[in-house]
Formats: sequence, C-alpha cells, structure tokens
Amino acid sequence: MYDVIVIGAGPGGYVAAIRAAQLGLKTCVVEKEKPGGVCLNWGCIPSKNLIDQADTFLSLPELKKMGLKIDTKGFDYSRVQKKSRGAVTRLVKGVEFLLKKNKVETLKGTAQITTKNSVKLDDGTEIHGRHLIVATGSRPMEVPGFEFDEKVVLSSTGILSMTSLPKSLIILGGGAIGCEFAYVMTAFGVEVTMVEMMDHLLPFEDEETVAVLEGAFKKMKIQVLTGTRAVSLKKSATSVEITIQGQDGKEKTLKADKALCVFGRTPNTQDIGLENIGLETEKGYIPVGDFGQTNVHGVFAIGDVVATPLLAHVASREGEIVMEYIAGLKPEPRIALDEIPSAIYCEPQVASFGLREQQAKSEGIAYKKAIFPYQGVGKAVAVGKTQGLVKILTDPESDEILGAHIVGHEATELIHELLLAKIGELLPEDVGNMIHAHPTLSELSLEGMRAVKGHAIHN
Amino acid sequence: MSEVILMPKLAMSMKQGTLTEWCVAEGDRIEDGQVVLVIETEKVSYELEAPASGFIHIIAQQDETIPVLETLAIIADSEEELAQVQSAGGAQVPAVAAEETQEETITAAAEVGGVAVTALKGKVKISPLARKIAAQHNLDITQIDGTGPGSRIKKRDVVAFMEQLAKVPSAPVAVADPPPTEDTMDGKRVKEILPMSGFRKAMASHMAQSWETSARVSVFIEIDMEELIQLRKGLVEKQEILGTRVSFTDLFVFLISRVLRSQPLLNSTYTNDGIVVWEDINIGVALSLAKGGMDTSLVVPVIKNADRKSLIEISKELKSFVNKGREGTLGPDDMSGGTFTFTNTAQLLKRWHLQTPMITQPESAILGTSSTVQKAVVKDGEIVARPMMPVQLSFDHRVIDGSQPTIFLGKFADLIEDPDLIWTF
Repeated sequence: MYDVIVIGAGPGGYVAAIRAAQLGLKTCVVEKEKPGGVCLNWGCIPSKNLIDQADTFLSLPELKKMGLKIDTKGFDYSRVQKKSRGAVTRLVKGVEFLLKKNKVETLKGTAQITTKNSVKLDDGTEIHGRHLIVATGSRPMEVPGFEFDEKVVLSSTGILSMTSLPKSLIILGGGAIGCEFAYVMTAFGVEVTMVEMMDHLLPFEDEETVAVLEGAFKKMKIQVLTGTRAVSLKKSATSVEITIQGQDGKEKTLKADKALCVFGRTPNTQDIGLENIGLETEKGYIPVGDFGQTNVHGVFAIGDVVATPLLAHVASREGEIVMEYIAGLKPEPRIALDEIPSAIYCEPQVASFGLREQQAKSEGIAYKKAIFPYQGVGKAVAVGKTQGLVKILTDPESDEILGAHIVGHEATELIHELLLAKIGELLPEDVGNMIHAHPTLSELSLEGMRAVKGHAIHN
Repeated sequence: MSEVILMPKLAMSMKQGTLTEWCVAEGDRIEDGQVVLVIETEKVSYELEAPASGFIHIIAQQDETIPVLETLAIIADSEEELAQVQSAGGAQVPAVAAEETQEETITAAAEVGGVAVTALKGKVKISPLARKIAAQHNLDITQIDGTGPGSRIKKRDVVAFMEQLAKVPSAPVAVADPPPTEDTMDGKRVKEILPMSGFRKAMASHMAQSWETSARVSVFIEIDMEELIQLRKGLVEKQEILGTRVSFTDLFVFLISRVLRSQPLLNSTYTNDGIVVWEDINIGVALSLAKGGMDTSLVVPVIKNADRKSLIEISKELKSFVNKGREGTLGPDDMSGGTFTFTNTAQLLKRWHLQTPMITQPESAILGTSSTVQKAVVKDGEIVARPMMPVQLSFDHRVIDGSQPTIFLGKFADLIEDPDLIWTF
C-alpha cells in the first residue's frame, strides 16, 4: 500500500512524487509515456532548445560583419530538430534518475482509477494508495474543422517532430506557443503568418510590452493579423487554405504549405476512471479546493487538469503543496495568482506577473506606473540588445508592487528579482537602494524601481 | 515615541469639556494610571488618568474649554523627546486605536482614544510594506500577529488588524492600577479595596448628581396582575408564531410608552432655560448583569421610539440588548438618548418589596416594578388571594407636580388590570 499514487509524471507529477519521497511518503508514479510529460518531451524543453538554435542561426549577419564568409547551402533542419530531441533525452534521463534516487516507484502504463484508493494498470494489476493525485496534464486543443493530421495541419507536438521546414506556415493562435514558433520558423527562413482573434498577440500580457514584441515581429517580417479569426480550413497533401475573417467582417483566404493550430490546450480527464469515484469535471477541469483537494476525500488534482494557469511551474508548486499537506505540514492552501510569473521565450522575451494596466483601468484599481527602457541599461547597449522595457505598477498610497512586466533580452530571468520583491513585500527603495553589479541587465530592475520613486538615473 | 492625552468623549452628546484642574506640572515625570487632570461637563466631573508613563508636555490650559478628541497633552518617552516635543509646539496626533478593558459600560462611561505609534522598531518581524501601511494608519505593530514565514507580519496581517479595530466597541475605560490592599484602616479590618475606576466612578458620580439636582418624590401603588398574567401566558404559548418569548418587562415597556403619550410631562428634561418635553419616547431599561460578588454591573440600554414599536419589536430588541450586555458589546449609542427609565427588580428578590428608584439624569421620572406575590385583597366585598405587584414611580418635583404621576400610575394600572383598554390608546 502506497502513501500516495501519482498519475502522470509531468512537471506536476514528478515534482510532487519527489517531494513526497523527501517527506518520507511511500510514493508511486504511473506514467504512460516518458517522465517529464509534455513539458519535457513535447513542450517547454524542446521549444527552448529550438529557440536557442534559432538565436544562433540569427547571429549569421554578425559573423559576416566580422569578415567571415558563411555557406548556408548545407543547412539541414533535421539536424536542428535532432538536437532538440537530444536535449529532451538528456532531461528525461535526468528525471528518471531523480525518481530512482528518491526511491519513487515508477510504473509504466495507463492508469484507470477504480476506487479512491486504487488504480488499475494496463496488465490488469491493481495498486493501492492512501492518497491519489491526478496529474494527467493536457493536450493540444483540437477545434472542429481544424483537426490535426500532423502532416499539413500541425499541433505543437507535430511541429516539434517536423524534420524539414515548410516554405510557408500559417500559425493560428497568437499566444505564447504561437509566438515562440513564429520566431523559430521565421529565424530559419520560413514565411510566417500569424492569425489571432484578440486585438493583440499574447492576450494575457500587458499591452505596452506586447506592442514592443509586435514591433520586433514586424521587423522580422512576420505577418501578424490580430482581431482576425480563422473560419475554415481546406487542405491537400501539400498545402492548406485557410479562410479568415477580420474585424471588418470581410473574408480572405490565406495559403501556405502548412498550418500550425495552437488555439489552446485541453485537460486529459477523460478515460482515467474519474466516473468510478464520482468525480465530475467542469468543462473538462477537475474542481479543487484548498491544497488541491477534490470533493472525493483523499483524491487530489494538480497541474493542467485543474483550472489554474496551464503552466509547468504552477503544476510543480501545486504538486508540492499537495504533498506537504498530506505530510502534515502547513503549506499555503492556494497559489496566489498574482505571484505566478509568465514567460515567453521568443526574442525579445516577455515576462510578467500581477496586475496589468488595462486590467487596473477596467477594474478601477488605483495604480501608479513607472517605465524604464533597455536603452538606458549599459549592458543592453554594450551587447546590442536595446529593444525592450520594464513596466512596474505600484499602489499610489503604500508603494506595494502590484505588477511588473518586462519585454526584452532575458526578460524571463530578470522578472524574478521583481517577483521576489513583491512576495517579500519589499518597497521600491529596497530594490532601488540595493547595489546591482554593473554592467548587468539586472540594472533594469534597479532603475525601474528608482523610476517608481521618481529618481531613475539613466533615463 | 510619545503618547497623547485627548479630551475624552464622556457621553454621546458631549461635544466639549472644560479642563478644570491640572494635577501635574509641565515636564513632570508621570506614571501610567496617575490622575493628571480633571475635566468637567454639565453632567459630570471626571478625573483623567495618564495612559502611559513618561514626561508630560501640557498643551491645553487650565479652565480652557476644549472640543472632544482634541489633544490636551503629550507624554514623551524620554527627556530628549520631551525637549523635542516642547520645541515643536506639540503636534496633534489623531486618536486611532482604542484600548480594550473588561469593564461594563453605562451611558456616562468615558471614551479615551490612546495612540501607541510604532513602539519597538527592530524587534518586530515585519515586512517593509506592512510596516509602511501600519505607519500610515498609526497602528501599534507590537499588537499585530504575523502569519508570514517565522511569524513575520505581512500586509494581510495589518489589514486584518485594522478590520478588527473597526469592530472593537468603543467606550473603553482607562483602568487605574489597583492600589495596594491594606489589612486595616481606621482601626477596622479591611476585606477588600475595590478601585474607584471607570464604571464604579461613573455610577457614583451619576447617582450623587441625580440626588443633588432633582427634587425626587416617589409614589407607590399595587396592581392586580391576574389579567396580564393570563394575557402573557397566551402570548408565550404563541412564541413560535410571534418569533419571540414575550416577557413582563416587554409588556411594561410597551404599556409605559403608550401611557407616556398622554402624560408627556413625565417624558421631559429640566434645563435652566425651560422644561424640554420630548417628542421621542425613548425608554431605558435597567438591566443588572449580575455577576455576583461585589461586581457592579448595571447597564441601561435604550429602546428608542418605544411608542412606535410593536410589542414584538420591543421584545426582540430587549433580548438583543441583554445578549449584548452579557457579551459586553453594548455601545454608547445603545445606552444614550433615553427620556424615561424602567426598572424591574422582580428577578432579584421574589418577596414583596418596594424601592425608591433614582431618576436617571437628565430624565424626569422613573418607573420601577418588583415581584408579584399572592396577597389578600378585598374584591366585591370578599377577601380573596390575588397576584399583587408593587409599582414605584419616582419623579422630579421641579418638573412635575403630584397630579401627573398619579394619573400616569392610574392609567398604567388600568391597562394592566383591564388589557382590553389598550385598544383605546
């Protein structure tokens, strides 16, 4: 009898399992594919590797400026793709090692929940546990009329498996995944058109930062059609034709070799036996209360099957909270939504947490804003990465940090200093008076916080 | 950091007070609880005790009339601070946090706002943001419980603390340190010395003032309670429908309020400029929250506009007052604005007894009832046993001559002995 059985070894499941083992709980994790889940295998990791390789490819002009003559005829995208798989394999092995090291029993197979304390495996054997954690994650959302064939109509999984580049690509969906692939594909010379229903890319990010990204995409010659929805798709063996409709109501047709459909993701809560324990889902998600508890005693849910932001780091934290709760510790019952960082890794990167300016305006929340541009940061100028800014929203009375938004080089790293200031309830002067090494990009935070108090130096 | 002494709000209606005497001098070292000055209003003379120890910087002068909640003095922690405060001319610090006490309160109880601003900086674990918000609201961070890592105080703790403060019932009373007990005094053995603080002091001064000012006369009658007992029985049987268990006190308050409509002079206040006959009939009901021993716990919550409330409304309101009284959450608004008082001693003593009640200032009359007992009376020429209840009405003879009260009692008795007559009111 296990103390906990975790179904799914993605960033939610495997982190939860390791934490459980650290806390002395007898843990088992059931995974039907590879540990690391979508994030490691078909999501975060391979895409970051591809972005990095795209960055390398984009530095060609800089090499030429040094006088080098580059022959790009031998470019072989399959090698690029293979390298990304190599990064995946290394990390999967790493997770397998960590699970073994922490003595977490890892079982391969599809889990079927039979009772609130038992799970049936593929071969019919049943394992029992005092607690069950559902961490089965999510999959690309398939919209009727735009079904994936992974040949010309791709999901994010399909495009990561692609070994040769199309000449042209239409990306339906302007969220994080769409933006990242738009960047990678454009970098390697693909003609990219993005179609996004909302009035700007990255609908959940601050308008001001997104405007910088859209400017950068325009410079890269990515065609961005916002306020536009995809109406229908027609395809052949070698091409797609997508009918779109803009805000003027007029329909247009786009043609390309392939289409990438990244409308969103949908939770994997079907066919895992939830009905056997009377657990009902809402729009596919499992409703949970404090500490990830479902309404079936002893059964918890974390990660993408829960309607919190569909992010790997959210899944991991939820997993830790559940295990700490089960072990009798007193973790925070729920994650504070305004303390979750978001990160988009195309160049320029976008990262943020907390209140957005548009949101503050529409909800009538009083705020003060301070902006500092990358242009004012010595390191940024020195390495030619001056595109971007930091925007900090604070409470006008107490100077409480309400939200922070960064667009620019390494934004996804830099955001953490500001997030730490928020969580630690530091005041702007606490950051503004701290000595930051010069020259670093982190001086962006230093000056941003000084700007909050009205005395930035380099602007 | 310094503490301030403010002009206390000794009653809901009090707008200002006169500082009649300074008991200490500028710069004196004073102790927490020491009487430092005397305040007088038209009703009450009040000795104000220092809320903290330190060096006193006087701001208000003797014989000055000062509005309520304005600064009278500042108590500096140290001599250096005293010098600072003296040169700064004494800043005005608004009163915020109220001190909690265990005492019951009556209408004349004092409301003193004490401010303790950021005491031990550096000893309290608190986030910079929380510290800032606390400072902005003049909160004492040593009073706040922290729920952050290592019990650190976070913004949410400060917010919760402020919400708690908003709920604290006002009218706390500065408690003096109990003086040391002596074994004998004046050649007699001492059992205990009860401190003359807050509540006791207020009651003593009120009763003395009532005695001195009003020309109190009492008149007594006895009422046959048979009809009312039956009526009440019927109402108690219907308590589910009515939503409340009607008590005799509820009935008396109801009846008094109606009779006062026709005898308005008993619902008045004597002033030097004339007798104010009130339109509103607000009946204070004396409640003894008896704790036994030598604890005094008399409160008089007021049922406002009793004549416009139904019996059921009066009953429910009284019950809520009793609960609040027991919880100690009666506020000055609950106990002010009375125009007539009712007191019932039936609970305290089941034997036939009379009292000569003291008139609640600044009212002109008070009605008391005591226990109903079976007595031999003559009815239709026969001696029968009837449930008889003594009733006592004390009135201020400066305001009312003998006829009004006796007529009042007659009407009151008639209504009780023949409840059908209530239809005529």
